[in-house]
Amino acid sequence: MNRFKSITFLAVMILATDVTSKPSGRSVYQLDSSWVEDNGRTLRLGALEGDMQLLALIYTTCTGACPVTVKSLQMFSRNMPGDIKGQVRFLLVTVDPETDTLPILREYRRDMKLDRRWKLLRGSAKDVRELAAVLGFNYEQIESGQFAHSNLVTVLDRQGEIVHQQNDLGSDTNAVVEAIRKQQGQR
Amino acid sequence: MRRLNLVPALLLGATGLVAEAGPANQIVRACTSACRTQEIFVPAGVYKPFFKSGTGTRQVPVEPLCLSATAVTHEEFLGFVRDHPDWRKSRIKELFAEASYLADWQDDLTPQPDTLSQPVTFVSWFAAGAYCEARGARLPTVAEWERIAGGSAPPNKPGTTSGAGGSGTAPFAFAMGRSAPELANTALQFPGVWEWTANFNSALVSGRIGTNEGADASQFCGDGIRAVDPSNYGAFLRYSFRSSLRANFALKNLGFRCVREVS
Repeated sequence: MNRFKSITFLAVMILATDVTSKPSGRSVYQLDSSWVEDNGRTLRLGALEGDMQLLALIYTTCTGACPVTVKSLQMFSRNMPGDIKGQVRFLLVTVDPETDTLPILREYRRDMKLDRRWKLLRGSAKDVRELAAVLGFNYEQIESGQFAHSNLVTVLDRQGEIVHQQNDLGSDTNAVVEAIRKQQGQR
Repeated sequence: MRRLNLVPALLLGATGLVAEAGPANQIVRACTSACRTQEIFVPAGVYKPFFKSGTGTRQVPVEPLCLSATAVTHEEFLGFVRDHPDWRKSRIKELFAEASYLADWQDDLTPQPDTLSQPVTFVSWFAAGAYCEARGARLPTVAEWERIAGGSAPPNKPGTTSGAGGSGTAPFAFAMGRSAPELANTALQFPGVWEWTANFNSALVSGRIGTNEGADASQFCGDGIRAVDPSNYGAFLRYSFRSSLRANFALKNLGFRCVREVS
């Protein structure tokens, strides 16, 4: 009887740990970095838990690849299949916190017509470097206001694990949709 | 002794250099003494990035530093994980180090006894950074590392180690560091491992190792991928190696050393 009890107890424990959303060892949200949104609110990455995130690193004075990435993400957000609509949030992190102050990020939000599903984040140079290192996003300031950088979009699941990454999103969003659907199934 | 010192002073005085050389030498001496034993004082300098930008060759000023004379050893890293249990191999989270973290250690606190004085490898960027931080230091930036150790090696064939500046048998030892001329007479050592840098993920070498993703200019803002010195094969290897890394990689031939800013 005692033995049965302890087995049941064990089973319940295992089930319980399975059900609760324990922070995964792979979650990007374990990074101990602190961010500020364009509206001035501070944000820890852990606060993003619960939603799927589409994440891109950009800077507002970029004239080459970044506007294309943001436009592709916007296009995706408009044309998302109905079953995943409302599941996804968008996260833009500036790699140029020196130039991209909060007023400039707010202006960027207006110019690009980014709605409330989009967060614009600014952090210290060190924290941006760390986030980029985790994502496999490479960048380097070439001269003032100009960066060489990869053009990577990352899908984070509800716990902050990387579930999909893609260079040059463009209109080729099937894999992104698939990655999001897969997470939905596991909900 | 006093008389010997007078000679260079007189010579410098004659060429009108004494006003500049005097204080500068004092600064160098003062800073040198700010470095700990096992550290080398590296005076301020200039780093010329390996890749050109649109406006040609850039010049990046580099601040003076105290540089560890060699890579961090197993023994030193053992001291670190003793004091910081979160960095033991049984405790580390996958985000911060992949499964091969300290793969050659028998357990949390047991490196191979015969390797204690050798460079610790199988360490991630996070672990390397945490080690340096715990010692009031940090990882060198690419600019700092390259300016100190990125000199163009004489044209060795890969597979030979002559001129590598180290005793390692690694096939790419020639690319793993070579003292800048001004540091040639210091105790600076390159023990035949690649080394982490703080911003390893700044290199934009396309065509990543392990994928068939080709060079695609549309991936980048600007045209940042033309080498300043295409004959510097070692630099090519380092930049492409760095660009293939992720922060949680723990590789057999990848170690690190720390630098401290001179206050």
